[in-house]
Amino acid sequence: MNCEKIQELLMADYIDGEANIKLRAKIEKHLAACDNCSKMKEALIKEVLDPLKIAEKQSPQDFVWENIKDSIIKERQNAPERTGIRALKPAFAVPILAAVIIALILIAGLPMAQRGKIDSYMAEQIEFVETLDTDETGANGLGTAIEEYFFS
Amino acid sequence: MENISKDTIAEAARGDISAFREIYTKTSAFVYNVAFRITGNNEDADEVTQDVFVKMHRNIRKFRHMSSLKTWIYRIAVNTAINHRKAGDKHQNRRVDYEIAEQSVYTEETARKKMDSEAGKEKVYTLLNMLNSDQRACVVLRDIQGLNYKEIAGSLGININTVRTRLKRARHKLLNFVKKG
Repeated sequence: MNCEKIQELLMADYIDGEANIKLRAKIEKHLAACDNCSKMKEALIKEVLDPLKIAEKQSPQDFVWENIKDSIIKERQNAPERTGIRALKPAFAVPILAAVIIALILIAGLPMAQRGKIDSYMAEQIEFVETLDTDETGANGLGTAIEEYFFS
Repeated sequence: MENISKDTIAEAARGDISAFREIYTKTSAFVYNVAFRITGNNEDADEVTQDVFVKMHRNIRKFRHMSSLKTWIYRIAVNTAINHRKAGDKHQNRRVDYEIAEQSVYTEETARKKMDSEAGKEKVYTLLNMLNSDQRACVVLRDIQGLNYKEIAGSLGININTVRTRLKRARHKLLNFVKKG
């Protein structure tokens, strides 16, 4: 590898520990023999990387958390209350809504199906009551022959 | 960045403010430092940090593991800081294009004078100001925060080769700058 290629690798992969062992060994062999590339590496570390690496780390002051907390509380207060179907996740809301609609249709359909049976039951009952009014017993609607004897 | 348990994330998602505070305590230094190094001042870093954690609170239900939360924090911290800086520059009628800014507003000569007159922490500020926002984000994540290429690529939504190229160009630029001094 020539100096240009070595310096390219020095600028990123080698200096950042991203070069594999084989590549590292090649670069180090070149550096041991090349004063120019070796000096470039030293300058890069000393003048550029070290000042950045030892840069003072800072932490946010307490008021930053207080402001965040206030914003969160405000957002919670302003958020519309999610109740009923709106409280459900969209993924669950659609199947639940469909199930409710189907159930309503079934419930609404039940009396209609039963109506025919009721009608025929009523017709039977009416017919039965009507037979009571006829004098099929021969007692003119007063009952049996004995009842006829006592009540007529 | 310190580890956060799955339970803490779940409690925060259920609205437990003390659990959210624990997440803040463990991650805010990272967010603040990234914001500070990208925007270049404490006031903007305060605002970016607040913005990041309010966004995090809105989205906390989406995270079930530390790994997804961590990647999200890297990305949102960098993007919010870059956007904040760009918005600030527009507000002050500064040029957004840092390549042009480097040649005009913040020339090498003025940068060097500043560097000569001020010590350590200002040197970092001066070096970072020589870079455009994309290069600066890579350098901050790699050289100050110590992320590897894969983590940087994930944070910025770019591929590893782009990370490598940006770092190379940034270091070339910085090395040429300090050599001339």
